[in-house]
Amino acid sequence: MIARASDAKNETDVNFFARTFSLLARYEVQEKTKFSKLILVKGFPAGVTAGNKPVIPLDIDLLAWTPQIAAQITNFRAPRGTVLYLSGRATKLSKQQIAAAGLVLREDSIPGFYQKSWRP
Amino acid sequence: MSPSPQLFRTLVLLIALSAVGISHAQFEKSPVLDAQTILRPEILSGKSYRIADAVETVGFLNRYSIEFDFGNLSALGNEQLIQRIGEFEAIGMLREYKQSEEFGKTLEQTLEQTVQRALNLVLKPGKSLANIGSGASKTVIRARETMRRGLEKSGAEKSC
Repeated sequence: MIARASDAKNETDVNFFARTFSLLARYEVQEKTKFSKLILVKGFPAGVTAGNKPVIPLDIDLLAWTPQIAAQITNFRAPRGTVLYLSGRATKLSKQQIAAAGLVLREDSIPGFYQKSWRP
Repeated sequence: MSPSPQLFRTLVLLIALSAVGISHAQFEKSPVLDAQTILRPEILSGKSYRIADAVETVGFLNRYSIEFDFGNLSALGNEQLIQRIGEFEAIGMLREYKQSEEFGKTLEQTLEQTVQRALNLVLKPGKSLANIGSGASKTVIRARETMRRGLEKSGAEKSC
């Protein structure tokens, strides 16, 4: 995975990998856990917890259930219980669809940005 | 009593149709958000900037328009907005410092010293160059002393 990150061809890819690893590190701190290994799920870096549960960090400010997002989530074909670790927040419909796909959604990995009371 | 095959097939069909309905027919459009509603007040505006109300969502990221004292800017994504705000704060602090009395005094002193050194070089070139020389020789002496102490220490360690 590190080789893939270092092979990044442009600034966007570099930023993507940097943000992804930063989110994974944040998850470890927030959940007081350590990933046993890092894997790629459909090209997305993911951490695997001691309980063998993949955690896919997604740098998304607002997850609305658009055709684009639906395609991505469907394309994941991740095992049930996989955690989608979102930097921002998700709409009600997105949450329902993700839950229906057997995935677990964790929002707001960057606390202190959005207003507490705001729900998309 | 078990359900009849006909009823079972109908039920399966209904479930399948509702599932297709959920995953394909119900989509949302990327919304336009209101900065005042979504952002915390401490992020919404600062001494030198203000975030415009309309926040577009482009793909997965929010696009913010920022009215900054030195011009209008945009930030793509929450992460970039946080970076920009940090930069604005730093620029604001520098500007405040520049306007302060302390900055004026320091600038005056620095200018005075620079002019004095330049004048000395022209009016008393011998003494100025000697000063430069003595500064350099002091550095060499200090370096030699450090080296000597280092050698003595390593010699003492070896003898132990």
